[in-house]
Amino acid sequence: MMHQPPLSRRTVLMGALAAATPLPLRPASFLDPRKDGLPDTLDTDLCIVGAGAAGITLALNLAGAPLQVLMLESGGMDLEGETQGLYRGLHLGLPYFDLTACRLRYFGGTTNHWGGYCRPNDPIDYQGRPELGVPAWPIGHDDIAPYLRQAMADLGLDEAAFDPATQFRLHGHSPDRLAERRSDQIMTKVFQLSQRVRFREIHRRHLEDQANLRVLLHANLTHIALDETGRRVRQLTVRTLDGRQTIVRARRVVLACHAIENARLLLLSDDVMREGIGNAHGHVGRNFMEHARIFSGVMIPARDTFPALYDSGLTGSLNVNTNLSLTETAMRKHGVMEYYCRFVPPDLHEDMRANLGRLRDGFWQPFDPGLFEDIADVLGDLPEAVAAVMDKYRQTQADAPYYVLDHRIEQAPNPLSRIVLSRERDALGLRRADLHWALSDLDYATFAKGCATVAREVAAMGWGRFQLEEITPDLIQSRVKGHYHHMGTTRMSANSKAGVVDADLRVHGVENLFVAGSSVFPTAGYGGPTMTLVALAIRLAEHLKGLGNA
Amino acid sequence: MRPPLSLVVVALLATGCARQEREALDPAKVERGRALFTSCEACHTLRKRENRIGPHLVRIVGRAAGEARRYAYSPALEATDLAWTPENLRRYLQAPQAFMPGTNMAIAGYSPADAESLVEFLRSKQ
Repeated sequence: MMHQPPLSRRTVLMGALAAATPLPLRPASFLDPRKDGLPDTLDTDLCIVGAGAAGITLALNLAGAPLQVLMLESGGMDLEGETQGLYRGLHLGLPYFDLTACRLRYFGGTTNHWGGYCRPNDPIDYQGRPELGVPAWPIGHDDIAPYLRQAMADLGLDEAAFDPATQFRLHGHSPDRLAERRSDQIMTKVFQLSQRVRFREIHRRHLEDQANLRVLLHANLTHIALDETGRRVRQLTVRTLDGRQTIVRARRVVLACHAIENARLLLLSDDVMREGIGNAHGHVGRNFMEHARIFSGVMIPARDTFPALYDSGLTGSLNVNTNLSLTETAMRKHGVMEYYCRFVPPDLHEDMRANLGRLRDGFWQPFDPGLFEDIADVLGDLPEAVAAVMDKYRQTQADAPYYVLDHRIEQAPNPLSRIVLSRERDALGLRRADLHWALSDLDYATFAKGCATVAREVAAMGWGRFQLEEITPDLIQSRVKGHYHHMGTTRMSANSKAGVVDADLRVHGVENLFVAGSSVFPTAGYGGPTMTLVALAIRLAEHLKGLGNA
Repeated sequence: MRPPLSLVVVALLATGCARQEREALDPAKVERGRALFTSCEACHTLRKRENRIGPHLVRIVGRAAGEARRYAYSPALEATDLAWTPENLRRYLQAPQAFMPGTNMAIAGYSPADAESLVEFLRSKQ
């Protein structure tokens, strides 16, 4: 039997308001079933499942549309261990980050710890590589460009600043020193670090004031019920961890829960379509992709020749990254995906610099005994302290004694890299999602050939000499990490045989179910996923507005 | 010119605060812990007294639990009078929910060997 919470004053008030104003506009609300109770059913035009980067962007871009929007969020406004624990899952393939630490399951989602790295994909990233078995996106660079521009504006980024020549000029360096002016194999690709990353703080007020929006917290989607034809979502079952339940009836539904959870929800709802929703061709949960990364080898720079703006220690402090990457020519010539190399200065004074940094933040905790230990450490080795400070300010000369090479690749789609439903069940009784992260021969080749190309070209320019290891599959498997970028488990495709959603992000064969987020990416691309998924959410909002209430 | 009194006090306190000799650390465990700690960095920092998704871990070994300034702890951590001794840290890292029911740290937990390495790494950063 469903637990019936006592009626609060707010519940009564909201009920009265709902009764008095049938559908039209009323103040937006954040409702928490734990305090406000939960009706047996909720009707809405559009239900967005998940209040992270994609869901929040979608909701914001539907402000003013003649649609009632209900956004479900599994968590509350802050981190809660019990809710976060719903993400627990095993690693069945390569070692990976703990899944409970990858995505954040409360309002704002993973933007609550997003690093803010942004860059649009390159045109080649959308085009597919038939010779490598890599699919094209059903939309191209030109289709997504206007939405990327809006995403850049929302994230406080300057489109012109993605141009490496602009970055070089901005920081007092001649663009003549750019690698691409001397080689047709390698080029500079710029990431900007957005400073507008915490969607909870930035957008909460707007969403509270959004007249056509209700946000339901602590509300977990546990089942997507299709009608008997399997072509339409009939209703959603939504439950709280304290035992409440409601049925959401929505004209349209958008899953915006991130790559693992989107796929998990589609696979779990297998009562009408036995293989899971949208999974007639077996793509749901497959092609899980990351931007894989290893550290290997060093470069000893030639004195006064290695451009300072390739020193990632310096660029990080400028809120930008300028990475040496492959040109399209090189990618096609070597038959590999996107690759970049960052040159990371060794932090030779890491502990001392941390001590010095803590003297500053310790100012606010003057009675913390640890502060005195920090002071003692600094006073105990003043020459080291001076060297640490000097080093920090000399970085602009790009004269680190050596650079550690940080290699990153665009992982190619690989059906064996996937999420799998576990036999273990979570606190809601749902099967957990385990991750089988796997790399392919193409990924190993991208690491090895990418590294070799950058090393050869940089050495030929006289910028430094390299001490490299042989980058073998064993070496990669023993060191590889990701970037917390989860992509590809419900990929976009022009036809239903090749993917899960169409170019409008609608699940193939289901007329009122959409998916937002980086799970729809057919390939990982060069850029970080967040700005692209924000752009796609803006595009989806426009599409949904066009559909109206039909 | 005489230095300000406050500086003299701080300097005296600091130099008087003789660091205890560090117990011998196992380098292999420290390095294993360093590699494992990259996973913790999604939520925690060791470098600054700056809370992120989780509280900062500056000088965490020996610190009283639930004491990072301005961090919104779970009621369980707020209420405890536990200290983060190496042993308590090891047990917590192996099974956070079992060791501290109600904690917001949702990770599944590390193997005993990995928990040991992480604590060894944290000790190296004391």
